[in-house]
Amino acid sequence: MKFKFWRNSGETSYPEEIKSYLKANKPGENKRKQFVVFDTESSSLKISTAELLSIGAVKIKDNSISMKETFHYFLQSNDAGSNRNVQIHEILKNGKDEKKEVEFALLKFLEYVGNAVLIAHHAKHDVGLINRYLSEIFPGIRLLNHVIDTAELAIENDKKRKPDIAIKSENYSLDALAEKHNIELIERHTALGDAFTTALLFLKIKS
Amino acid sequence: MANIISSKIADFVAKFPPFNVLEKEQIKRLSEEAEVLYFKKGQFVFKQNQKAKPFIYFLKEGQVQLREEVSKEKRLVDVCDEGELFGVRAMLTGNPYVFEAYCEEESLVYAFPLSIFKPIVESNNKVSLFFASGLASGQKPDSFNSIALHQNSGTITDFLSWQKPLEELSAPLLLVGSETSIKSAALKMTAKATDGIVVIDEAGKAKGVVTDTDFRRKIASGTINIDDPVSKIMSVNLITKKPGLPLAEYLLTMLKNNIKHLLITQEDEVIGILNQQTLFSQLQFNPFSILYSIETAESVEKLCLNRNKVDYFLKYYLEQNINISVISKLITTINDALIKKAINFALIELNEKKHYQPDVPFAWISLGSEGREEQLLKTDQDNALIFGEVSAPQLNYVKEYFLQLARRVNDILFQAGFAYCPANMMAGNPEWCLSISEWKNRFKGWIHSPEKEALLLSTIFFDYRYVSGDQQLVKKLNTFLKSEVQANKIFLNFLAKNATKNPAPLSFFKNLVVERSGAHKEEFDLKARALMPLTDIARVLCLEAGNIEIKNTVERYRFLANEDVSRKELYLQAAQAYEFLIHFRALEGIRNSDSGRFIIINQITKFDRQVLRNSFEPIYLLQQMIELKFQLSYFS
Repeated sequence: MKFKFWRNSGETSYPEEIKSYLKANKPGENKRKQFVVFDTESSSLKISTAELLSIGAVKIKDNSISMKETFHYFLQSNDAGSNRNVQIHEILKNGKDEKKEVEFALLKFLEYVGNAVLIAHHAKHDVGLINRYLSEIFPGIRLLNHVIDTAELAIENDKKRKPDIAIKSENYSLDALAEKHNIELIERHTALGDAFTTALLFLKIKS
Repeated sequence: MANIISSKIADFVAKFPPFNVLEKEQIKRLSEEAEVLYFKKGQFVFKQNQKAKPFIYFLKEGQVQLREEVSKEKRLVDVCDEGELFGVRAMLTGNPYVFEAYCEEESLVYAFPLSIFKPIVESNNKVSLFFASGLASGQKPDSFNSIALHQNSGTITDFLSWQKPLEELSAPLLLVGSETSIKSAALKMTAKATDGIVVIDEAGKAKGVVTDTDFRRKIASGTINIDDPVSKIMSVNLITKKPGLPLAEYLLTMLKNNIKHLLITQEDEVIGILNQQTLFSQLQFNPFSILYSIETAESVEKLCLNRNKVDYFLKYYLEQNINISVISKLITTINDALIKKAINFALIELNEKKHYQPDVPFAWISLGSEGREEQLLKTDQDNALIFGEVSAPQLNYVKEYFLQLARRVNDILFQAGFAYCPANMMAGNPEWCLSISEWKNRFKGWIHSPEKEALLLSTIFFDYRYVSGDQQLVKKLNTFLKSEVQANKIFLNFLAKNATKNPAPLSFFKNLVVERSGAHKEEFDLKARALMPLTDIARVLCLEAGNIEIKNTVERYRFLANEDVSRKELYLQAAQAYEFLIHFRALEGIRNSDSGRFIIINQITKFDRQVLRNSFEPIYLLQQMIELKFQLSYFS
């Protein structure tokens, strides 16, 4: 299915998922205290050219992460089979996980996210990448949620404790922070594994 | 939906009871429905009197304390270790929480929905038993009883009497009519995995036996057709025996008649079939055959071969969970027989060397754990010798003779695998080879001036037990010790003080939880911290009650339970804890080929850690009790 014909049409022709996403995020709409922690795996760090390979996410309600409501999608990608990426991401082209159409995955993601507060580590990259894909496929649509970056949060916390601290970025990678806070790393470099690690990190450092 | 996180959860919990007995599929389902909860230090997973939530909780990381508020005071009920379940009572009863679950550290908790977990508990006997036995946190105090009950399920009679072995030892009994074809007989034997079949006549009386050997010899040679009746190949030379005879009797019959199978019949009816191999393997474990070869040993060398066999059946019995008192009785019997035989050999040798025994009686006594009949593994010798009253001029000569005797016995025991006592508490030491009046003076000295050394010696020597010689000497010493202790009760306060010098190791596991991130790999001294306090307390309480005769710690607690009904529960709990601990120590010792005294906590199973922790509880309560009873806080 192609969505090209929406390019010049009004909001009303967006798929149902997008309509309810927009409705949930209307200014003044009641925000529920819910967090979605997510992570993306991509072929490079350049938002303008990177291929989105997978999205993983978990929900936090009342300091609890439910295994019933996890999100993990592997995406079609022409680039995913290159050697470099196989090493980093262990995602093989035509791999065992059935890859969903990018469009389908994005719609499912928006449906999953709703109006929750979004949390990601180095969120700029993940949010930027999702937004690029959204604008390519559903012009005019981007993420509207409030976003918390756990790397920023960690830096803020440290500055509060010690205002003159010298911030070294390598101390705020997900690996470094996980080690500092005694978080067991699971399945590093899978989107869902990193999302879960980020979620535990968030629970530990939020006030 | 299965995902990488839930499979990590599944892998993790599968290591801990009761998950370790669940089906993989069940754990997978639980994990897929799990919630991962995070608590900061000082938060509560649930509060007392709160309505029960539809979850059972599993502590993944951190520390959770179960506490109970009683008249505004918070009382610590239990500390959950990582890998433990809590919220169990509420699950079982559906009632509000009776404790609060307080996070002493920041904690990560898995919550499993009861809608899935409860049906698993109810359908799986092992899991039900886990909860019934109170192994999950916060289920005390009756937890220990059920473990011990469960442990006693196998008894020694299963292994030694005839009745049960008939079922266990008998190959599956297959009876066929004489017209049955050879082929169908063979198929039946294969189906039942047995190597012998009994052919009976119409009246049900055995006519013959067909065994694997018959098939090999008579069928494989090709002279007989497999459709012929089975009676063509059966052996008619039937040897039958009644049930209820010693195993050796059956075995000898087979050997004498050169047969491999023996029919067991009762009033002409076949009730079992024994084969040689099974009997041989059973006999090897039989303590009585060891005892027999000790008693009939013709030389010191042959005698010494026997003690090593004990370790084989010890391991087997421990693993079968045979009641520990029964096992230690058997081993004591064997050790005593060995000592008696060693004394005999020594007496003969002295006689041959024209060292004639003076006309004075003597008694050989075992001390310490051997005296208390608690020695399972081979450890050091602790023994002494008492000889009868002699006049002063005779003393040196008589003592010299018994020293010669005792040294020879010590040497033989050494050859049999019992190391010399490093503190030289052996009958071959002139210090511990004394006339009855010298012994009385020794005991009197310790009781009247209970200094550190005297107290230490009392704890070893007052557990003396008669092994061989003239029992009257030991009885005289009993009478003396009893009256001396009763006349000097202050001595018991010193002994009680001594019994509390090693505090109960209750806080041990709490420390372990707190210090988990460090390299805390200290070994745990099971003897000094758990066994000795229990032994010492039992001794002082029995001496106070005027009972000098009982030396065994478990029996001492049972005696105390009968004497003092108000503390019956505690004493019985202590007896069970002690049984568990020596059982545990022996198994650990066998596993690591050492004395089992030091336990590396990281290397024992979660299950054992939990039961160990429960077994420390009575130590703590007993120490508190005797501090009050002997008013130790006013006493220094």
